[in-house]
Amino acid sequence: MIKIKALHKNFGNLEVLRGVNISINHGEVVSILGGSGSGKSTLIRCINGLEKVTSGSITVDEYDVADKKQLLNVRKKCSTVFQQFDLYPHLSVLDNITLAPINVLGEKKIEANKVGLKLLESVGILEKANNYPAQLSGGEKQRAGICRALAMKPDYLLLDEVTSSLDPEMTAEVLGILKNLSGKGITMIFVTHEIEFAREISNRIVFLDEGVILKDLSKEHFFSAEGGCLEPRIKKFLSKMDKNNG
Amino acid sequence: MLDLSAMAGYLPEFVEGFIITAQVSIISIIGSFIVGLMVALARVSTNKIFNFISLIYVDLFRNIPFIVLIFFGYYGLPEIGIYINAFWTGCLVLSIAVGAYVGETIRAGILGIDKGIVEAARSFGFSKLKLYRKIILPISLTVSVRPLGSVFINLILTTSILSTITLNELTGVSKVIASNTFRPFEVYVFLVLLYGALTFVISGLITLWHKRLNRYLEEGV
Ligand SMILES: Nc1ncnc2c1ncn2[C@@H]1O[C@H](COP(=O)(O)OP(=O)(O)OP(=O)(O)O)[C@@H](O)[C@H]1O
Ligand SMILES: [Mg+2]
Repeated sequence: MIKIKALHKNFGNLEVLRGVNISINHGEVVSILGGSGSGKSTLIRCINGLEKVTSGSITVDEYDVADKKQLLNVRKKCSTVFQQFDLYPHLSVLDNITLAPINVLGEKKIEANKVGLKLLESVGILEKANNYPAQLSGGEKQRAGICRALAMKPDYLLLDEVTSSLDPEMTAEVLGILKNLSGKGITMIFVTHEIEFAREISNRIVFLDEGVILKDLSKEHFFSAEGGCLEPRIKKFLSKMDKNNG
Repeated sequence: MLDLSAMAGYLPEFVEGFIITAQVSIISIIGSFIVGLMVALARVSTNKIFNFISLIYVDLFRNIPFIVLIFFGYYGLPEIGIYINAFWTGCLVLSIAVGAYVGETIRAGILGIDKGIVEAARSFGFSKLKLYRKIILPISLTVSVRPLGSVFINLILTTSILSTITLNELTGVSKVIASNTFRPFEVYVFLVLLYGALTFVISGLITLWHKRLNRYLEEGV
């Protein structure tokens, strides 16, 4: 379970997160929605320890993110998929996937390779195993990025706008893969602008607005007439997104 | 008229000088690389003390003429009881002084790395050591290998100054041969060719290294 309590995050004088409380249980698929600058990425980056929290606490299972010694355990449990892929450019796709399992988890290379190849096969880019990231299309890169995250056998998968750098066709590819994953018991927290997709795969929607959670509802409730739409801010957001996607 | 045949009798001396120059060069390239690596890591470290010391180091050794350093090492240190022969004084001072340039070159490469890639790596829990060894240094070297090549070529050319502390490297023996034969023109033409050969080999090696490090940018492997 990920437990976030009274989380505040400031950048200098700018208050980006202003008291976020949220608990995420095992197996949940949570979509985080919200306008640009509302603090979605910052929230994700606080969970995997890339940003230091200003106050409040985040625990992942029994581990405290703010504790330097426990952070490693947090990072072993949470894997992140990034908007800009951020693959290691000097390594082959397979080595990208196995680097952390070998060097962080201490897995044997043969084992890690086996797992890596299996993952690549499952996302349909097995034949790219020995290519470098520069030789892949955006969609293929992100598929490799997902494999890299899954190779750590994480309990939690954090995804921050993982399709925003992709064209519609590649977006569909990647969303298809994520949809497959969502049925498999892995806890997913993803920031997305794909409302339709969020509606399709998540069981819970969190709407972030100017650093506070405006609504935290089950998907059915959120999209129903007496759910998120009652909030003018959310109504506006949803109608704008619908226009963008239509 | 250019008459290189007059040099034939001195070939063994040239070869000896060449070997000493090559030895000093190779040892100092390795030495300055190790020094430079430490300087670069200290420069980008989050530790304020390391930052400060390495900054002073770089500023100091980039702002003192090499010949002053080498005189200090060879003629100065014995006064306080430290005796090192000309060969090792050369290697030591070159490693220390050129290390400052190597350090700045490697540091520039490290600073040029895409921040997102480093953050992604950090999010996977790599230790600092692993992060540098497996990700940051390999990526940064792909960029800094070319400028490093220039630094190393410069190092080779600088070894000629070691003739001023009695080391019979290439330039040192050439001076002697020139004054013995009264044929400075031929001697120095020969010298130019030999330095050219040495730097040519090093450039070649750097190019190969660059190619290897940058193979990931090539199309369709
Ligand atoms: N390192 C930083 N230093 C200063 N300000 C920052 C930093 N990172 C983010 N911010 C600011 O914090 C606010 C929230 O940023 P964040 O990236 O979390 O928003 P977001 O909800 O992910 O937006 P988007 O949908 O555009 O990705 C923004 O105003 C941003 O400018
Ligand atoms: Mg964002």
